[in-house]
Amino acid sequence: MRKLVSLIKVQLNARYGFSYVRYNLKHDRKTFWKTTGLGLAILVSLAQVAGLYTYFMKLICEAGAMLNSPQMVITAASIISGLSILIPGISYILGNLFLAKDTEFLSSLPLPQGSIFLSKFMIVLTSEYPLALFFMLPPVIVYGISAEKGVLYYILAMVCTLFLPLMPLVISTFVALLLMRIVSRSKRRELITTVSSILFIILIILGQNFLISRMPENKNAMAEILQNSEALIKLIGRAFPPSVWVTKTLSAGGFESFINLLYFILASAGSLALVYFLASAIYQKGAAAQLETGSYTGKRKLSYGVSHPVTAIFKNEWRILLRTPVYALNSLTVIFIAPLIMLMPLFRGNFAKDPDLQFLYDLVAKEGAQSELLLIVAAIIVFLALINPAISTAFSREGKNIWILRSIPVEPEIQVMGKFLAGYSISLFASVVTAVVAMLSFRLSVPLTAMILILCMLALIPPCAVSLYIDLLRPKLSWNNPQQAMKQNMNSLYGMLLSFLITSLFVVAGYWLNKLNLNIYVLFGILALLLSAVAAVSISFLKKSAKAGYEKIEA
Amino acid sequence: MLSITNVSKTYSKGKVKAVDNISLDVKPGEIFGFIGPNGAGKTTTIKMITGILPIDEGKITIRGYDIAKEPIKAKLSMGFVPDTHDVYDRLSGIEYLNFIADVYNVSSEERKKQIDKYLEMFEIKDVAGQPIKSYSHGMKQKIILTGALLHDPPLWILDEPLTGLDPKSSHLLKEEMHKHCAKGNTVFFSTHVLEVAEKLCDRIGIINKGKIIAVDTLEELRKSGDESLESIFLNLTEAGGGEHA
Repeated sequence: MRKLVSLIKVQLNARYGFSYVRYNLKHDRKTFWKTTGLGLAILVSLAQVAGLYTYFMKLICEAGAMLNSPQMVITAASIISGLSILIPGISYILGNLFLAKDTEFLSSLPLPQGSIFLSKFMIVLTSEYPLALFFMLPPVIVYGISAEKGVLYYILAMVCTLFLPLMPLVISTFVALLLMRIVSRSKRRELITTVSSILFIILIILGQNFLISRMPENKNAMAEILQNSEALIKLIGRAFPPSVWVTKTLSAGGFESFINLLYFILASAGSLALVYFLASAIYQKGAAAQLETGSYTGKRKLSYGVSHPVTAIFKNEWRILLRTPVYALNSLTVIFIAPLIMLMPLFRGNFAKDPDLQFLYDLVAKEGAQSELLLIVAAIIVFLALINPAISTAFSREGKNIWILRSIPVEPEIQVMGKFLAGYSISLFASVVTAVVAMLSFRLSVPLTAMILILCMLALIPPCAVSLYIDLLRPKLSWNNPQQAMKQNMNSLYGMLLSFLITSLFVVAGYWLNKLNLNIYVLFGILALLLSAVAAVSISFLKKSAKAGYEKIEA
Repeated sequence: MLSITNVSKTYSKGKVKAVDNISLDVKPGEIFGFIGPNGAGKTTTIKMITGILPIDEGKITIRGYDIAKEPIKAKLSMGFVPDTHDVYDRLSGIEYLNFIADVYNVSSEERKKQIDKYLEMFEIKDVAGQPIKSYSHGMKQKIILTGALLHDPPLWILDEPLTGLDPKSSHLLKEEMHKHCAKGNTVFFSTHVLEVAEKLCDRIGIINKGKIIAVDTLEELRKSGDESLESIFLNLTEAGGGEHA
């Protein structure tokens, strides 16, 4: 037990850099305050998003009160929180448990594999708490105030938030453990891992959508739901069943609260125990397979093709991205999720039409709303295409290999362009897929889809350039596993926030132009010109800043 | 070939002086050994020569090109092997080598000739199509060496190049170093293995605590009374850095 505690302490220290912070606090106050200030700046920049989320939660609580179920806000938040942990969870687990650089070292220590697994699981678990807190705190406060709850309610809410990430992570871990065990003998294990993980995420989304689509349609069932507050909670809770226990713990009061909390804790702890026993048996084999060096045999024909340096860097980026499961998962999954949600109504019957997209169906049906449609669909596609963190971590992903880029005889602006084109092509690919699916799903005309795509192509350039620039200025080159380079990297958050800010500016510009009641082609022409100009300026800025940025990178 | 003039480098915002006002001239046709204790400033110096780290003070030129002002021309003149085995391990060996050949503007015919030469010399041609991830440390070192030498640079900068190499490859590389210098080119390499430096180098530079404390041929260094390079090294570094040049 002492060994396990020591291992967990070391892992947490290495992950969060407690010793480094303590050292800076004593010896390098400037760095300490700089880091602290940066953290506070991020919190402030997230305040707006948190405010918006709190507002939505308040609306849900009020709507729930009208249906005799104000506590449904807790159910909704638990579902959002659970799914937000479950969906990307597989890539966190793969990165931390199987692809971390310390796996080899830890395997050599006289420690049971269950302990190594548990220490790594703790890292993933603790890194999920900020997310769980972000999603749970606003609804807990909103419902607490509206239902005039006391101190015990807030204590119970804290306990629930503490256990909330466990079950989603355990599910992801089960999948990851089994997957890595199965593919450990395959020569194409990276490819199989990536494809299987993407399929797993798609299955979660389809499964959840399927459950929601089983809403009762007859009047009697609806009347029962409206009269019985529990029925509505159970119905919503189908998407993530533990959310019902959390809701009842926080709303029922008395013995029922206690018994539901007990169910929740027992189920969470039990699921962890199960995954621990499984890991104790198979974790090491899956992890060791990642270290195997002799699984490739046979001669291959060598090719000596020549490429321009920009193309060489572009190809390098794509190859590494596709061959590193964590990078591929994080960059490519988002490309397919949004189109999948849009496609669901095409398979009528078993899948639900996403209520968030209803306004788009209304807009398509509306006469003379082509200009609005052009702007809104383009904005949505740009927004979705910018979620992937590929470009905002392009330099961070180099890690210790940065010496190669620093020592090759290629101008920094050329290197930056190679990386820019690789990251931009991912966003562009996402746009094309989403636009084609939108065309099929919403029955958009081909000329309208073409105009949407052209606007997207141009609108993506400035945010991509800014995201890459941020990563060039402060790349995170020191990491233990590829997940840290991509997801646990503030640059991806900065890139996303700045990208959304820039996109919002375009949306505002489009909105004001649309107010002038211009012909759709004139509106498109003006916007395309405007976006081209901003794109040209941003590319020029990126190229000019490349040299100075490169010089600052400490390899 | 390589000229280092009054170069300094500090870390931690000036608190740690890693390299302190060093000057060196490495001539065409010589193998120059750069030795020093751990943390003496060898790798920092090499990183500045190769343009990986910016220089705080002073100037480094390679064949007359200032690495700070004309980095591309300077870098084209050298091939660099770092002391780590960090390389794109998701690429295959040949993909990595083609990437390096692309960025050094090596033509298709030339790259085929050079890549084949080194892959065969290091006996890794059969595995060049496989992912670098599946290579041993020694094989990674060989692929990095091949990448560094394939554009036939006049100056080789090798940081601990023999680490991880098997005896045969190590011997072949040493032979290549001699052949390279016989053509009027230069090898600048760091090592901890003093016997290697003793046998291989035309001149030796010793760095300690960021300062160059000796630069000379082995014969000249021996005039201080010590017979082996090991004794010279220990005497100089333990004495705390008296200059000998």
